[in-house]
Amino acid sequence: MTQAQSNFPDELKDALYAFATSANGPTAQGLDELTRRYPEFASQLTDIAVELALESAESDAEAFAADEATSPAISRVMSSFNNRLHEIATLKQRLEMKSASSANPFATLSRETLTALAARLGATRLFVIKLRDRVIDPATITAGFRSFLAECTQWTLSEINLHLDAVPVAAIGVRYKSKEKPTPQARQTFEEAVRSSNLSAEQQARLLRL
Amino acid sequence: MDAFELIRENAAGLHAELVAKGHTASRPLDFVAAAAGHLTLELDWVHEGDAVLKGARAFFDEQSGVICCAEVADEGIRAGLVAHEIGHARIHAVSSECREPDIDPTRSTEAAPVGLQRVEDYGARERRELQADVFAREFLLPRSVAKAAYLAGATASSIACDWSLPINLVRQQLFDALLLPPYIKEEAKSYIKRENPSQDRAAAHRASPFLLQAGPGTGKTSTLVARVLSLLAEGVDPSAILVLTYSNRAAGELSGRLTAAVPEAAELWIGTFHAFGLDLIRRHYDKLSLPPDPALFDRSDAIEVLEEILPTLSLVHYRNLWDPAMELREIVNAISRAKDELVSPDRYRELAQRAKDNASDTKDREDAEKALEVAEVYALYEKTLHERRAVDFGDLIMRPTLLLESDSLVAETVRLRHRHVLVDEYQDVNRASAKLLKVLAGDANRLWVVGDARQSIYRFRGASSANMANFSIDYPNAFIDRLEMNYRSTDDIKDVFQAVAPHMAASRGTLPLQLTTLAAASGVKPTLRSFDNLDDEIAGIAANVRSLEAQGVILRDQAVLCRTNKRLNEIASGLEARGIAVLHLGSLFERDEIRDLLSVLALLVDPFGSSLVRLCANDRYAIPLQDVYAVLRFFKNEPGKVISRLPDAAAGLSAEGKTGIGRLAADLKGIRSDASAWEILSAYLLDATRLPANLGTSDSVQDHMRAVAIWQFVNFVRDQPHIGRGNPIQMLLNRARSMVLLAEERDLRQVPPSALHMNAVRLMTVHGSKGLEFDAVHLPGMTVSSFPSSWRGQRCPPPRGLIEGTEGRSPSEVGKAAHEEEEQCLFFVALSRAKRHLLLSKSQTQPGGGNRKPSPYLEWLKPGLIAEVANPELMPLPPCAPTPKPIEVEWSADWKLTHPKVGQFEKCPRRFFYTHVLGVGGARKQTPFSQTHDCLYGFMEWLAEARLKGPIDAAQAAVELNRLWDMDGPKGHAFAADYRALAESMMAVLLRSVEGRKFQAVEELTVTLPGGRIVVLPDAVSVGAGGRITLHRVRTGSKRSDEYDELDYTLYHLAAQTKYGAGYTIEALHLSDDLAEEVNAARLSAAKIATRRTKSSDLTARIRAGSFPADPDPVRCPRCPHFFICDAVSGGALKQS
Repeated sequence: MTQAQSNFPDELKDALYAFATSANGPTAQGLDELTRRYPEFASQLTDIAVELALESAESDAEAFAADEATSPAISRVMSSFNNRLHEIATLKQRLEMKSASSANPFATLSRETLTALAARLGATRLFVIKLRDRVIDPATITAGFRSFLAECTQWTLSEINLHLDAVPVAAIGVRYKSKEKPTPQARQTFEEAVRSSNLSAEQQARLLRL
Repeated sequence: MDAFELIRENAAGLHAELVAKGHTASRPLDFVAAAAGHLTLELDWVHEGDAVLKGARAFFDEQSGVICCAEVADEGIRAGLVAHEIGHARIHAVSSECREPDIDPTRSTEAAPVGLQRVEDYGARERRELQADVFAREFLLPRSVAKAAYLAGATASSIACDWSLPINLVRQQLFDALLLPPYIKEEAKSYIKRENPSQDRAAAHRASPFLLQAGPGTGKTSTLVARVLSLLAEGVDPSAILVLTYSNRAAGELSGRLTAAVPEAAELWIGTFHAFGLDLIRRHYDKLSLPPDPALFDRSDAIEVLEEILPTLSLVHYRNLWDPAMELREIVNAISRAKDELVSPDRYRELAQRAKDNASDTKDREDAEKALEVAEVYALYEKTLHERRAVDFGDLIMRPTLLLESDSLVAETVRLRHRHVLVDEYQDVNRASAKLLKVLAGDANRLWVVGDARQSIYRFRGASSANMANFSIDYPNAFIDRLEMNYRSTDDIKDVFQAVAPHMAASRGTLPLQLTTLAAASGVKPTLRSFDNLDDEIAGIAANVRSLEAQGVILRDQAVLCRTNKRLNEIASGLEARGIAVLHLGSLFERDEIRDLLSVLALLVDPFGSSLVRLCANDRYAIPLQDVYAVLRFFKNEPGKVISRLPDAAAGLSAEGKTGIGRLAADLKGIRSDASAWEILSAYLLDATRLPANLGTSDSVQDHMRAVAIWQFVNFVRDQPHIGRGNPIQMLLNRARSMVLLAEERDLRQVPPSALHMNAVRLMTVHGSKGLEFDAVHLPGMTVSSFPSSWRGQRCPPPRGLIEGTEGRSPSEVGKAAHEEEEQCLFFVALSRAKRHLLLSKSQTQPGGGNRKPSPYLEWLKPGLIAEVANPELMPLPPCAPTPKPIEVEWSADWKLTHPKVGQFEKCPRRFFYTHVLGVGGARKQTPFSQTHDCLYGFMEWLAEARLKGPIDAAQAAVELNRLWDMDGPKGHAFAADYRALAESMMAVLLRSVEGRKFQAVEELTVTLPGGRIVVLPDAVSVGAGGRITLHRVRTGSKRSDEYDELDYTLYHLAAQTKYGAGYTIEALHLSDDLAEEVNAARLSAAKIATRRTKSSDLTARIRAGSFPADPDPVRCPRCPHFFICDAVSGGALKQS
């Protein structure tokens, strides 16, 4: 079992930060260069770039709206400058969070290792998908199971918790579907997940006992 | 190899492997489970709505190798879900999440290229889902298996039952297996990589906007493919590459070619501008105040919604109350043209008003007034679209363009997703698309476009080759290059089309055409043949086809290219009559086998059973004409559910007739009136008549074309739009007519790819030949009115300034120049399709016998470029070629040939036969205006009686109109008040026309001519001072420019002369114009009367001789009540009773 990679490589994070804070904001040209250097993260980087563009516009609009009501042009400029400073200060932190939520320790598993993990858990591959995609409500996942998962994966418990407690993600490899706006992901309880993963009665009982 | 064939081969291969291992395919759930096991995939079933499905019905997870499906009730559907996901696993090898609309294993491989299907389903993702569906169908029931079972006697229903599969899956598979020619695997061509610096330069260009001018046969697509592959090789994210093509088929082919080279190319967004526009609308619907999946209006939908409103507008130039669709056809085009230029209704009105204010002559003023009326309809149309939260084709480009231009944030996010933009066929991009591209391209440093201004042949769709010329203005740091090597043609042929280039208006602003070819001079000079007449030209083409065939150029490598479909049809018939196989579908809805099917559908909605005329004439039923006459009379007297009452109608028929009706009734038995048209036709074709089996096993190319036409038709029927109200079958029939009228069916003439290898001469219009190449090209019609075609002006001239870059020129100047430019491009395209043989021909006379001048384009070809062939060879028609035979009619004693009947015979003898000889009725489409019109005619009948009794009391007239309105008027319609006002205004004109006149009873007048006798019934007869008689002819419409050329006026004159000598007057009343005028010698000369007298006599003689050929006309036919039955007629004589 490989060590989980819970984040983007540091080098990529630095590049992403430089890209996000460039003078002209995230540009197609900049993004193109970034994705050429890190083609394996191209999809996530594009999503992040789009989000950054949207966020940047929202914060500009908010600053403009607030100042519009109370102060003349000079105060708008100052306020905008302060906002920008604040943005830069928090950008690294936000990018960390984004990259953390985008990365997934299960993502790097080969089919064979994922199958082997399912066998170790005494479950189907479908059950592993539920774990991978955070389909299970974390509040219902028992501590016993968390430890068992850590044992089977040889990841640290904190890595396991960081993953299971994060927001749900789209299935690995499923691309952005332009036709649809993202909708909140439905979740199921741990027990429901166990019961609906084509496990034998014995397998179910064992997992629910943990 | 076609991408779908590869997929099918893959699916059928897996099926065969599993069968060989002992798995039973007729237990589909076990079979798919076995397939999953065989592929080491885990198959999981979960309840519908399980969170792991994330709203999908099924998914394939590539990482884990899991297929997970919702446990739906039907076993066959469940098997379909798994098979679909196995398809993803086998052919895409990427994860998939498939929602309900994504999975439909009954889907056809190619959506009918009409209406909405033209833009939908062509994103990368949609293409993958379709491929998975095709895989699923072929895996569950390979075509070979389905065909064998069917030919062994099974039916679609029995196969579905035996194999536990959805019936529609089986039907679609049988249609594919039986109707499409079997795929013949071709030897893979071995490409030798040749040095081509111009292609390499173009593919490798980076860091500035790039325009590639690619002449014919220079490897434009290869260069585009090389460009994409080089980007991918550099590590560019495939999903960041956007390739915009001109057609869906081009997109599909490009995608197939790229994915064959690099699998990740499946992630590219490849599609048309319209499909991309639709995608942008769906992404940003909220910003456009639209629902997530807005309704899409095609032209027929637009006309349908406007048709009801148009009569209520106070239009002058476009006032056509009886048939508003005729005007709307042009107006909707004008609106679409405005959208091509991003011009809103307000801007349109502003431009039109300005043009009117600045008009310097009557023509300019009239054009501007027309444009103002169009602006009024445009505004109303936009309001309707807004109310229905719908968009039309023009909106698919205009709305996203305006959004991206006005919302920099949206533009930025779109630019971030699509960072590399490539455009194919840039010369065919309209102005709106060019502007969309401009905002999409951002700094444009990753923009790459390819095109050839000289091949710009879609100006009528708004394409503007000016985009090519303006590229360096639109993108100031642009780099322009050209391809220089022609791989297609011989040097001799290249010299011909290269000689044309400098004369073309489209060459302005482009680099000169300087091509080299691989081959040296071939020694086969292009030729020009002159023939005495058009029939000889066909005989000459036939002789050349056979001669080339003898030299080794097989039929499928030869093409005949024509300017018009009409001429194409003539040549197709001429070649077929000489035993030469042709690949030509022609107008789908006008083919016999398709009209047979339309007639089956029509039986469900026509209580008079008019379409029995065609079905009875079909060889399968072979019901004699006399029996058809009797059956029609039966349903005329007792209209109702025709299919169930067929046995009753058979009473009293001949033995042959009874057998035929019995067979027809059996074929139609069990058809549910609530079934879809596709289901009805599937049952009729596959279970009742088994026609596909006969066609599919035939050796005749003509039968194969029939089969292909049926496939195309059922494919069209399958996906019908949901816009509009009423019976779906009736809506389908209306849509077919409307598509012919609007020329929207032309894309259905495209032969499906699987039929292209049939050994038959390819016949197509020059427009249809775009992008294709043939060993030999026959190019007839090298005459002045054919090439170039005549400029017919514009019914809706755009206001001055609407088309960018035309400021300062009048609409007619702009229109005419664009027409000429397009004709030149068509000539260039036609010449450059040929690889080794180019055969031009012309007829020296016109159909009427007058001389035809050669095409002026021939003057561009210097002596020596083309060899003129003296005394060209002809291939005469064989003696057994079919010739039209007269219909033997025994007329009833009381049948009269009246003047309106003669007029109708003149327009179309076949329509006359159906209506007035056979007595075929026809349910007319009821519109608010037709209802208003009926009231008006009722009023005129009342008036005819009332005026005989003395002056008309206005109050009494109003009471009568009220009575008629209550009975037949469009009460309850949203615009009822407007229609009522219209009826009242016409009533007022009628009442004014009778004031102060004394009327007498109308009696039959007769005109005796050498050809026979004609009865004339004037609309009214009044007596003036001194006893002078006036015959009145009343028309509800506006007076036409050639109004008095109609035979009716001549027949009025001849009848009046016979009855009253010189003491009469003919007066025409045009209600819409409030105009009454005398039809005197100034309006209808004695010479014209003499000519029309002879003509009337000839027509009468032809009627008596039983000569009733159809006279097809693209405008009249789709509006004819007999459109679907024409020109079928049963054998035998007819005795009227």
